[in-house]
Amino acid sequence: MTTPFRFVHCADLHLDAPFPRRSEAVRRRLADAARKTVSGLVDRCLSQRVHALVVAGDLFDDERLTPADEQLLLTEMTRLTEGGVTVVLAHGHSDPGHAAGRAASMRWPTERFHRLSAERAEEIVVRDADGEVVGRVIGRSLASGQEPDARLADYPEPSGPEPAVGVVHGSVLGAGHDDPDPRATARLAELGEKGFRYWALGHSHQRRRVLERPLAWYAGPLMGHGFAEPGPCGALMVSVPANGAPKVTFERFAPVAWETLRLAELSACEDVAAVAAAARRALKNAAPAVDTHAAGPLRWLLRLELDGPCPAAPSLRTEAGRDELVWSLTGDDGVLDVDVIIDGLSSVVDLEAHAGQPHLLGLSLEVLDDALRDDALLDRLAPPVLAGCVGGSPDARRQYMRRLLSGLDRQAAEMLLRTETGA
Amino acid sequence: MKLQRWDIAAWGGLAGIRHDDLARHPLIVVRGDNESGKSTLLDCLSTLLYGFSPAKLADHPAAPWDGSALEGTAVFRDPRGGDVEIFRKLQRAAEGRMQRGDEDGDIGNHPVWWAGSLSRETFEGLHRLDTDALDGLDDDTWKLFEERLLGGAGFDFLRPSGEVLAELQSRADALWRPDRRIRGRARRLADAMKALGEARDQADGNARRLLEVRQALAAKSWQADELDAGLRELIARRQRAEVLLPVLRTLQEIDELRRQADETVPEDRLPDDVRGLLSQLSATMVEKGRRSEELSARIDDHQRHLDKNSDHEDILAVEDEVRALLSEAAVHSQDRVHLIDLDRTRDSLEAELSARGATLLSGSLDDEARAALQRLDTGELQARVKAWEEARRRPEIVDEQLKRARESADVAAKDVEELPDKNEEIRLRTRAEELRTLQSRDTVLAEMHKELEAAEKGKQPDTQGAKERRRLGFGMIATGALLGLLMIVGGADDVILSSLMAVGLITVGIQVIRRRPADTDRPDAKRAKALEAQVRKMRAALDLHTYEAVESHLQECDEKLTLAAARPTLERRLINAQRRIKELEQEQKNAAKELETARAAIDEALTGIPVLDSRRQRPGLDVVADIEALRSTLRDIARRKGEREALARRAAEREERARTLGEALGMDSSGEPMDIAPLLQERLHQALAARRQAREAKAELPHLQSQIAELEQALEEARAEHDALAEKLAALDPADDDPEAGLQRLERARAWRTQADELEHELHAQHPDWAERGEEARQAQRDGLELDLPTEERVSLAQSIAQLEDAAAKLRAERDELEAEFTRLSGERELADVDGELAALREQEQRLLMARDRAVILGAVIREAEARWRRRHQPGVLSRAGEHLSTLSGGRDQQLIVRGRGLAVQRAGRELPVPVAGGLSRSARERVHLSLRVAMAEHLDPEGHLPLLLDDVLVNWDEPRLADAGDWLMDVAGRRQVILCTSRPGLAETLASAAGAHVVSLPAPKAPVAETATADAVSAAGSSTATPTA
Repeated sequence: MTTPFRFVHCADLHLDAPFPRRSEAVRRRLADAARKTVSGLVDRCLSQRVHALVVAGDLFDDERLTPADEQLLLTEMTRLTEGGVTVVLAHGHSDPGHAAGRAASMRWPTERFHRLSAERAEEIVVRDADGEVVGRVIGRSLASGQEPDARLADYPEPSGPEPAVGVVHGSVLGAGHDDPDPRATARLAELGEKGFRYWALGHSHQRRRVLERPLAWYAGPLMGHGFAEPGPCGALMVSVPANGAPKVTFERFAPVAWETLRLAELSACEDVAAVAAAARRALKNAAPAVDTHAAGPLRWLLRLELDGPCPAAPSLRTEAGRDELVWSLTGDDGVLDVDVIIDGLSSVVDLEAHAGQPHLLGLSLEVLDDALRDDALLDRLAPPVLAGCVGGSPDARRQYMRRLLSGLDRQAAEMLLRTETGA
Repeated sequence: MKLQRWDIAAWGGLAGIRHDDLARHPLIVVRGDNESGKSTLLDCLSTLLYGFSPAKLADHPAAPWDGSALEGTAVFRDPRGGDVEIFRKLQRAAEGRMQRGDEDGDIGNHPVWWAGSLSRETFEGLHRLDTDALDGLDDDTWKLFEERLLGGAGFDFLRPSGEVLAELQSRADALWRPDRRIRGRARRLADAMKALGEARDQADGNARRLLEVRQALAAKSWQADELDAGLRELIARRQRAEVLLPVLRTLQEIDELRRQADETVPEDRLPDDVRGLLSQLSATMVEKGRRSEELSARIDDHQRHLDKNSDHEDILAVEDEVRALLSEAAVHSQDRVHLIDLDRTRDSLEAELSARGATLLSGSLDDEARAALQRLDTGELQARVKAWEEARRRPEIVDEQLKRARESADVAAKDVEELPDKNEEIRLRTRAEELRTLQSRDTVLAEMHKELEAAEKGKQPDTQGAKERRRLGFGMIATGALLGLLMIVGGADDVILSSLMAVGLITVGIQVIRRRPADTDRPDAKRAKALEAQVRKMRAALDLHTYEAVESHLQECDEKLTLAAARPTLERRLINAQRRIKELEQEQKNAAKELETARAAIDEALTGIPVLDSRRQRPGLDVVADIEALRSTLRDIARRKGEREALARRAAEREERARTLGEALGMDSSGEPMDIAPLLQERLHQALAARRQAREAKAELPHLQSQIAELEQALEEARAEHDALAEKLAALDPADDDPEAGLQRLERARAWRTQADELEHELHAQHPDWAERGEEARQAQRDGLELDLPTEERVSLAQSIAQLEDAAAKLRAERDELEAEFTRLSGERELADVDGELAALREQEQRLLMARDRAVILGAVIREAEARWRRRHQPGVLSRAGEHLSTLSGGRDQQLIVRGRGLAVQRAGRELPVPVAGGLSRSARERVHLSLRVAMAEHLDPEGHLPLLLDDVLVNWDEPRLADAGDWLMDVAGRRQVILCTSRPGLAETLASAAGAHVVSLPAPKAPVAETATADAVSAAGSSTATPTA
């Protein structure tokens, strides 16, 4: 047996999950993009003649999945299995595998399609076109999504010498999560105890490798659903040879990508057009250098966080100015929609000239500087009601306030200094 | 640090300004006129301390126009010892150097070290005061200033804290308010989200319902499947009873019919309609025989036509000649009539010729005369006749001319005879001269007589000269009188001379008026008489009566003299007339000869023509016309003669051809030859008809013969077929070999087969799948299934089927309803879409709330900063400001305190403090302001490193206040150097004398040379432009 076990590892498509956009047209285009992502994934699996498609959970949003999109999934999975590709589907938090869930009532293909059981971990044998076993996929689905433990200990040992792949939907403690989800957790050490060659992980919406030996990857979302899931999204093309290290290659499948561009060096931007040019440059840097996948041209949803001094700040504070910026960017084919955040934007002021001076502005800057360190002062500055942080703990309130203090020095200077127009 | 020296190389309008040894003077007064550069000097000093702002030469307000560098130097004396020199220059970039002793350091564009923490803005806000800062401090302005001053915003570049806080609060409220009294943007967003929440509930319900409907649809589908299976079974049973059994029975009947037919006629290979075929063959044989007979008859007819055609060969041989003759028969008749007409015309023309010839000819026209007439050239004759007529008129003209020439000669001879001779002519000339002399003397004499007569009557005529003399005289008198009057009234200088002149003028005037005409002006009677005698004598000599008019005699003499002057002309006229007579006489002879010659020419032309002598003697154009008429008639006669001859020739030729044809065709030639034409035409017509029929018969005969052959062959075939068929039919009746009996058996067998086919067709129509049904029925029969059902069971089965069909229909209706609902719900807004918009709104709301919180926190920060300023700076500043105020007010105002949100002054002798805003005069408020600003400067720079720069701040202060101000300045200058700029010389002197101020002067502002020159140039141009007009 010399054929490497080749499969596509994807997760977290969250089909029919909401896209947080105000524009109905943009939401529709994003929903269409999600459907195209599914079809594109299937096309690619068939064209690459992979042995299997491993879905590490959260293929769809159980509550919101429409019958039409359910049918789309069934159709595409049928097309895939009829094309000779084995599908291993693990259920996650959004599409739990319990009996009352949507997945249980769906008429999945009967050949080469395997829904991993939520009751127990099971092994799926993957064969090639000649019927030879090329790999084994071992995993389980989440029953309700509320399980505290991923229960990797229950995973059986591979029953053959072929490359074995483990599937988990959950958080891996010790894998660098900033704020790990307490549900369905697994320990990093457990991943190395099973003798698997590769771990196909789902749940984290950040594509990353969590372990080198054995190789364990979060595939990231198949398509992003907000600015918290930035950059091009897709799946991992994995090739596990009989001997040697597996090869993992990312391929983009989502035709849209979300990206937050923080533009902090705008002091040379005299007008909105210059800001737009700066945004384009930033986008060019954020875009992948090579993007050759057949998913079509990549369209961007941008959040522009304009920060720092900018001569065009007065224009950008007006709705017309922001509209001009948005229009200028969406006029390009590559940009679908733009959010412009100007909370940190200010006119060009020389803070150093006023810092430490015995006047109101100098003292205001001093107070702001003190507030970053002085909790008592921060509490004193806090209004009785913080609209954006209701009912939080004192620490949470202080943390929230300190976030707000960022950039407030320039805003203070802008408010207190007279402008040439005599304001 | 005290300023020791400034040296300004170039700074705005200042150049080469240097003042030294300043450090020992705490108070320096810079005096200069307006626009002399006082403010520029203070700017320069600020810059020397802090560096250039802006740091680009092109942007700097003090940059010289010529683009040269800004450059200045200042030396500060360190109280600890030593001087520090600051050099700054701005050209391409801001340069700065600081030299202290031997240490020379580059400070770039940075402030000097002793500026400490005070920024340039703070320094200029506190240490530099100008007139504007103290001007216009009314109550409202003061309140604003007070608020800023007490809150740490007492700088011009800062906005008042109250204004900023109000704006921040307004912004925050516009975004979100906890009390919900104002619908902020957050509130509107919340409303939108609430509406979306309802939409979400709806979408969620729709999604759940959609799944329920889909599930229900699946259940209905399952039920429908079950129902269909049961229904199918029942229907199969009914089908067996209602379909398979009839099918089976019909199939059995069909089989029976076909079996009987096979027994009667085992093998039916005969045509379908045998009886009809037999009848048809018999009819065909009869028809063919009849057609054959008809064709034979037609062939005979054609043969006859061919035979008959040979009878007409003779006329057909000459068909062309006959046709030509027949075509000319009508013309021949016309020619005959025409010949008769021509004969009649010829006779009438002969008669006309005789009639015309009677007035011209002397006899009848024989052939020679006719030939002569025919040869005659009438043109030539006409020319000769005209020549004769010309010749005949010539003698008459010559006679007339000769007559007029002779009359002219007679008149000329008579004129010559009447001319005077030479002597007579001389006499006439003399007499004419004498008559003219007499005439002139008569005129003079008449004038003289007229004057004499007037003189005698005393009526001296008022001549023009007399009038002028009178006017001159009166003028002289008036002038003299006027001169005298002027002398009397005006007192002339030279009375005597004036009097003499007046008297003289009047005297002379009177004389002029009185002067009478001279003797020379009067007529001379003697001369008149002498002249009268002379005239009488001349009349007598001229043989004239005394009163006879001279003019007629003078006219007579002039006429005669004129006649005598024309003598040569008259004599020439006479000679010419005589010569002309001779010429005409010769011409008369020549004309007679020419007339004779012309007549001879006419005779010659008419030779051979017997023209009457009378016409020959006077041959005019009428003779020519008559001859021409005769010639015309003769030509007509000749033309008609020729025409008749041609006609007669053609007629004879035709008759000859007719005669020849008649003889050739054997026709009767007893009458006129052309009388056979109708007979020829008849015979030709008959011959042509016979030939056409023969040709047609010849062409049709082979075809007819072919047809008759084919008919005979078909007849044979039909007969053979009929016989064969009868034989086959006879074979079907083995008993009698009777074709008719055989035919009847055949028809019976065929009827059974047809019946079987019809049954099969009906079966197919009722059951398209009858073959399968038949097989199914046979199989069921073989399987032992009972195909037939009792009636009760059939009824029961039908009822069950009906019930099941009703249930299925109901199920379909329910399923349709569910599908419609499914379709409707699928078109509703999806939950994900609502959640997406809701999430976007929540993000927006969160940003909005954060913006509100940021604004509120910023307001709190500013309030905290304001509180810090008050805590840190207010007590010291107010204490120090109270001291300044006491000095400035001469001790009247003792203390400055804070009352509420405002300032108040504690005055000497007053129990209660007086609020600055609303309680103090304007000048008192200026003192408070000055005190506060300087106190603040001292508070922030307690060591006095930085100077106080005052730009004309005391310009509006009166003398008593200036005295207090002098004390105050000296007090302040004791702690820091004060530089006061002023344009008031008196103020400088006062401060110098009272406060020991050191006064330095700035040079007077330079006149704008370029502008003056330009103005002069413009003025000069204006003058030069105005000069031509003046």
